[in-house]
Amino acid sequence: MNIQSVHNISITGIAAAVPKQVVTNPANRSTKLTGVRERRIVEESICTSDLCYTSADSMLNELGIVRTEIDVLIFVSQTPDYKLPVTSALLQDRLGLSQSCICFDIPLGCSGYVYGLYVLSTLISNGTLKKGLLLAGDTITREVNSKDSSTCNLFGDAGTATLVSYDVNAKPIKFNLGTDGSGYRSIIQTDGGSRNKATKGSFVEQEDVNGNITTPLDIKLNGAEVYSFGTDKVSEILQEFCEQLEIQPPQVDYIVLHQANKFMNDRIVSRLGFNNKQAISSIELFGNTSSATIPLTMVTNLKQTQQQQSILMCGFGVGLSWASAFIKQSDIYYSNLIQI
Amino acid sequence: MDQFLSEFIDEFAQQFDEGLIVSKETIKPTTQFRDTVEWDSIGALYIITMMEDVYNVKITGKHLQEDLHTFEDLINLVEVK
Repeated sequence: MNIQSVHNISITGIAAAVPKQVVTNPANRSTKLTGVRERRIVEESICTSDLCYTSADSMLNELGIVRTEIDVLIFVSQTPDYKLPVTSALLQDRLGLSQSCICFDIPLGCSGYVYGLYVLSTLISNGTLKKGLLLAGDTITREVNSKDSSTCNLFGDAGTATLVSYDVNAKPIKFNLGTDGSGYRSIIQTDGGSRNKATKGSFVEQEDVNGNITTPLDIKLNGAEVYSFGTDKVSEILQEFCEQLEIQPPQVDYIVLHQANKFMNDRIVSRLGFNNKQAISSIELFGNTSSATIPLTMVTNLKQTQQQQSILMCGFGVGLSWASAFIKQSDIYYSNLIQI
Repeated sequence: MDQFLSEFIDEFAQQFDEGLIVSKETIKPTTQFRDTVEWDSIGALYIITMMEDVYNVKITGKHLQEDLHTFEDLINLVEVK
């Protein structure tokens, strides 16, 4: 297993914003399995960038950060404002960042936060750049079909902002990232890209063998394949990651898994030997918020502390893609959850 | 009905809130298991879990969807072990 060690990086702060609109799921078998009791749904006029902008703007003000000192902005999302230009460019302007700021988008989902954290950390690690913003989130509720029982009650919307700083006193962050593109069909929107441009046929609803209805423009989720991937492959990867780093479960304060499905996550946590106190979650009240799940879970569960904390995080899913990180740090600022 | 098949059907039916939607006596090894319950995508997850936890057989979502259709298909995996 390839483990990357990234030095001189500390996470200064994390902020998160969710829509005000709460949707309560029916109490049925699906809700019991997924664990999603409530979700937040954006109004039509709100995009992921708005949620991320609000998170970043608020946190930068709270921390008294000079905006022109932000050297990098990465926007991780599968729901950009436009097909082009990149949404990070719009956010650079909106946040009042310097024109010297390096800006780009990473269109990853479930693994996107940790992928983004890795890329951002690597850019800052040698000290040439000093501060960076990782904005991660999605408005996936717009991309699913209300007649698809495998997705319609699973997703919620959220946007987050993480401020990362160059810090020579920081302990190295350990990363492992990977991909299995043979599983690309497990979570897919087939039409609207270059492979299948949107046509009239893209709006035609089709029923699958399980009775779920989607158009080719909707997200199609193969729950059974993703479940196998999570409980088998991701468990193995995390097991090996911990073994190589010589981490035992009692040495970890928190394990933060991508919030895809409570049944699946409970199984992964149990297999790895962690307990429920360590495995913090946000799926119950916010659903699967794509690349926002890990930072949203941290904002809604953790408090700033002078005590060093060990946090193991893992994002996994669409691609198929996965990324794990092990962070040992104190004093991460967490904003109060913002609702817009 | 074979004892093992009977017990397997009981275990299988327990994974679904409504249990069997057909009479148990009509089920044969060649019966399509998806036709005996209110099958949905959640059912697939419970069956994958059941096969591992109760019978110590690992199956993937892909394997279940593409290759496993009858009770015999599932039971054969157990017996091969």
